[in-house]
Parts: sequence; structure tokens; C-alpha cells
Amino acid sequence: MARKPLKAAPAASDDRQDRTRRFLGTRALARVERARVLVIGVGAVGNEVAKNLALVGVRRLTLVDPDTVELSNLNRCIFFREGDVGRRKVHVARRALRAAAPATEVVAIARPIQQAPEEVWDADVVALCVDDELARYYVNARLLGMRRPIPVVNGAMGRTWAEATVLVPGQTACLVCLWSQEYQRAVLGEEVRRKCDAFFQGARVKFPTISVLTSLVGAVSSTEVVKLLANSPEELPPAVGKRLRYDVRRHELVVQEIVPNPQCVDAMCRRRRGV
Amino acid sequence: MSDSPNQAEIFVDVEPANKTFRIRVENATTVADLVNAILERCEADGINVRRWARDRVGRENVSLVLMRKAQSNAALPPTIEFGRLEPVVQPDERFSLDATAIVG
Repeated sequence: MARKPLKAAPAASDDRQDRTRRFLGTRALARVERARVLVIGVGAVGNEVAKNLALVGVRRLTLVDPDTVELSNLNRCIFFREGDVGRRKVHVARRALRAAAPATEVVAIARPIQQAPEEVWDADVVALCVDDELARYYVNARLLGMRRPIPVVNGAMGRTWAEATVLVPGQTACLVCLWSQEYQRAVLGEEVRRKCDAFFQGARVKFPTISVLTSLVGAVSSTEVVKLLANSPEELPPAVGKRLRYDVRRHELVVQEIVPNPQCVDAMCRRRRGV
Repeated sequence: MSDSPNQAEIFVDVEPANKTFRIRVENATTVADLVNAILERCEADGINVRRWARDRVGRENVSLVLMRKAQSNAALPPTIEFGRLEPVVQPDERFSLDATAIVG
């Protein structure tokens, strides 16, 4: 009887995801590849998060950001070049992602998240990379209104630290549980001022930062997104309900629990948690 | 709470003042009450905590947060009362004042 020739397994060097597969395992990698991630904000942190997720193997990314590339973005944004100044950030990032990770399908929405089409919310995880509290407030309200809870990873930075917060609004604390009513009023009031007075358009103070910090925020945030998607809680437990803060001054990492607010400024948060 | 049924003395580290405040809180004292008292006390000493926070997070509006150091730096919501914290606040327990990052 003629024997069937043995089929050779692909060499590790022929497998683009060989190292990722070894790290996550085949099943977890399959879950990551099937997932859909909504990335809101495609500035420096959004660049890093989108890059990391695409390289890890996420096949479906939706990028939402209305802004255009400015020269001052180039000190910390991996995807942007001088020739991109004036172009939409989401379009530039999509082009770069196609080159870096051709298997990843990227949907680019050049609008504020408040005006994005309904389909963007069909996501397994939201990566929030904005510098705008009103956008956070809106995203939080949308997530609290979802029948199926969607985890959100919120990345941000201080003067000397990077942080990522992992929440499931409606089950854990929400994105605004630590807000006071006074702060909520200030956030909403600032937006009204900016809309009403041309002087405030673009008058926001520019925050001093370097690529090291934005890379750290992106790295910690995308690590948590991957953990959520991999769904291997024993091997890679996501930091749900926690904030991870890494301070570069003394290289300190602090893991903080975010205590849910029994009188959260968002009534839906209280209702969903049965408070 | 443990000093007496209704009150406890706690320590709060306030970085911009370079000080640790010893403060007596009651069961009904909220986190926001305590933060406001610290802001007023610092202002009387010529220290502007909000300006410090603005420098740290880069925005005009800042959200100040009280961290419970003995409980893994749990970030406490402003409306919660000390008498409702779990586990019960211990005498001389340490807290710290912090600001939430905004810029992503």
C-alpha cells in the first residue's frame, strides 16, 4: 500500500504569529483573532494601542477620531510622518496598519465618537485613548446602556506616570464613579464654553509629554485588552475593576482598586449595579 | 470606626503641602468633605492644591481622589461616607490625596 507523504508543519520562520501563538496558546490566539476592538482616539496612545493589537493578531479594529495630524504630534506618534500633516489621523493610521499587519481589517471613522455610526459599538472591548472628559462621559453612558456589558480599558497619563483602568460599566465601577457632581458640572460647562465661544476652540493647554510615556500607556492598555480577549483568566488575569499606574520618577507600579460609587453621577450606573 | 463608635483619626499624605495631616473623621463624613477641608487648610497655608493637580494632569478642571493606602490604594468615590467603608477604617490609617489622569 502506498504511504501518504508526510505533510511538513510550517517552519516557525514561516508563521507570522509563531511567537504570539507560543505566548498565548493556539485557542487564546484564535479568540484574539476573532475579536473586534473599538479604539476611540487615535493620538499617541491610540497609535500605540492599535499597533500592538494588530501585531498581536486582532483582525478587526475600528478607529474613531475626528482630528487631523499636526506637526506637534510627531514627537510621539509611531504612524505619523511630516507628509501626513493635515490628513485625518484615522486614515493615516489605517494605511500604516495595513502595511504592518495586512490580516487586520481596519475601519476608520473620522468623526467624534458622539457622531459615529451605531455599528461601532458592536465590539468585544473598547480601548479608550482620548484626552477629553466629555468623550469619556459619553462612552460611559453608551456602555451603561448596552444589554451586553462591554469591558473598557481607559488609558491616560499624568506628568510623570502612565495609567490604564479596566472597567466593565454596570458590573464594576464605571468611568465616572470617581467624579464629584462639581467636577461633572465643570466638564459639561467647559464643553458648552468651547462650543459657544470661538476663543476656546483649540485654546486647550498643551500637555508636556514624550513618546516614552505614551508608549507606556499604550503598552499597559493594550496588554489589558489582550488579556480580556484571550480569556485565559488563570494564565493572564485582566485587572478588572482596577487602575494600573506606573510612575517613571521612581519606577513605581501601583495597582489601585476603583471603589464603585453608591451615588455615582450617572444614574444608569447605580441602576445597573442595583444600588 | 475604631477610635470610638462614630469617629477615627486618620493620616492623609498631601504631596503639594509636603505634609501629612492628622484628621478626625466621623461616620457621616464623606470623602468630598475631607478633601474640601484639606483644600481649605492648604489654601490658608498658601498652598494651591488644585494648581498642583493641574500641573500633574494638564487640564484646567481636575478630579481629586482620596486613596486608601492600606487597602491597595483603593480610589474612593467622593460621596462615600467613612462609616460605610469596608473594611472598617482603623485608627491612624493612612490615606493620600491624588489627581486622576485625563490626557490619553
